[in-house]
Amino acid sequence: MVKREDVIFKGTKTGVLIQINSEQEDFEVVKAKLANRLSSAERFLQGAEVTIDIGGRSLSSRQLLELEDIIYQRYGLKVLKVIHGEGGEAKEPAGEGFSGDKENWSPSEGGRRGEEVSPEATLLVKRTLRSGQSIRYSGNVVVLGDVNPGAEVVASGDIIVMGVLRGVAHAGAQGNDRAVVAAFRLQPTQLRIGNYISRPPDNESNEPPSGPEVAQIKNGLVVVEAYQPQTLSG
Amino acid sequence: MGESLVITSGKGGVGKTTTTANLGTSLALLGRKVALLDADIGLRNLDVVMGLENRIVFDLVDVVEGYCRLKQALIKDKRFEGLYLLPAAQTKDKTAVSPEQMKGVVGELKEEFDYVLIDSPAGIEQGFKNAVAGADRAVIVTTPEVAAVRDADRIIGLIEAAELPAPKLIVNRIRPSMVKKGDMMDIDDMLEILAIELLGVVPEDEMIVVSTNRGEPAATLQGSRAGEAYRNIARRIQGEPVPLMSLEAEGGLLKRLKKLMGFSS
Amino acid sequence: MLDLLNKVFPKDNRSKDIAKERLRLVLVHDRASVAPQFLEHLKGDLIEVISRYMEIDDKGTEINLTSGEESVALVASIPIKRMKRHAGTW
Repeated sequence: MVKREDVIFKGTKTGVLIQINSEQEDFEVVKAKLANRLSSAERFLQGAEVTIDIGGRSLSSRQLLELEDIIYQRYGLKVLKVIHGEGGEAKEPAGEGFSGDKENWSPSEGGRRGEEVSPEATLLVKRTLRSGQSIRYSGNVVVLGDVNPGAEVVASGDIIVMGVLRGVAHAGAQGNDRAVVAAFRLQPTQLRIGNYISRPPDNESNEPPSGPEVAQIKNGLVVVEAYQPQTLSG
Repeated sequence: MGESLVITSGKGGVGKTTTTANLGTSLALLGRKVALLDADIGLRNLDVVMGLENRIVFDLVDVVEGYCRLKQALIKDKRFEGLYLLPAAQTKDKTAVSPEQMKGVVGELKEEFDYVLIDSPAGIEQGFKNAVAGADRAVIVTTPEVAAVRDADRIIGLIEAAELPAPKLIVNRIRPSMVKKGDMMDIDDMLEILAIELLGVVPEDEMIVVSTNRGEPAATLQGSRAGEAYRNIARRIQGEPVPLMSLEAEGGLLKRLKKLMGFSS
Repeated sequence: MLDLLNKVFPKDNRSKDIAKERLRLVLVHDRASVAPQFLEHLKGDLIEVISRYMEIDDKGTEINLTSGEESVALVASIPIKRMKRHAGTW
């Protein structure tokens, strides 16, 4: 780390950690910097759950409310808790860190960053994603809820939905064609794995299957199969 | 070089998106090359009405932010030759696009297409301003209700202030039987109040609901009165003089009663 | 039954006439309040025209839209300083 930013975003197991580092700075300046960083990273933060690390600062409850206001009211992020990190130094393993510029992912970008992903990094989303909400995560994403039409989950690893997936899911978003999408009910608007895009066939007569399914790339095609313990072994 | 039209209303729920979808489809059926542009960022719907929601990969915001080229974001409607959709983003808000950027996108589309139809969001804020920014002319949609006509009046003022040519009016969801009874404002009432030119009248039609359920615009259905009205409006947009459709056809019980009893109205 | 009533009182009870009248009133307000400069412009023009005929106190001039139950009126209060001897051009 060459120069420490005053406001840092980190991915953690519980969501996004916002570290506010500079301790001597005027509160108004910190607020402005936070708002500025949030607006530049809005694209990938959307819908995330946030922990604020205010380091060694002591903030009045009014100031805390103001911070939460910026994060919740203006950007719709849910503030889980506020912590005092020890000296504000990052405790998370380096592999999990991610910074605002990854919002520039696009499906065609390839796997350049793929190797940065730690296989264990998994984001647990304990709610239903509604239209307009989007989760972007460098790692795997597990949703304990539904993904409604108009919502999207983009992950560099696998995506598992313990509910109905009706929106858009993009697994292996940095070019990993071996990523999978699994859902208790798999009825997506669109499925993307790595650089492949697929959508359900146009004839709507297809009865939706009644069990969990897994989608993965096989021989250059997105293949959806009923989930069985051995489905993913190979 | 094509022409861009914004379809707007002020009030929500009067049928902007349905109108955009049906006029676009009708113009494509007339052999024109048409781009539909959903300017309702954050609450997109045109994709669903057109039945193209599962084919979206990139959207307007991706184009504006340079994540993809315009051509990559345009969805070709395979059912109608020459019809394309540029969807809005669903996970962003109105501020993701500026009026200048809209002008740029619409300008680029006009080079390729005969008509660019811009589906405006309700309201008069940023989203509306964006939608109007790239438009050459405006079509106002209203329904025969006090609130809708009042909002249409406000929008007409804003369109005039934006120095677009005088907008034209589409009156949607008219119910001829209620007009007959005097329980719904008629076309002349609204034209008198708004003092703008009429582009067309679309009768209330249950087939609109059915066609929206299916994602197939009613303009393609032969039995649909609303579909027929939209096809006529599309021809008027092209400059053809098409007489107003007679709304008498379903002239309700009262009219027949009056005839029988020798009333004249 | 309603049909019958409509025939007996053809004009007054038609809800579309009520709608139209309400709309007309609300639009007078909307159009006047849309441009806050509207009344200022009107005031300027009025002063200009009236000044041709009489000397008025343009600082004391006030104009307003007032609305009653069923109508909207333009009310102007224009203090006159002096009538001109040769009003106008005739």
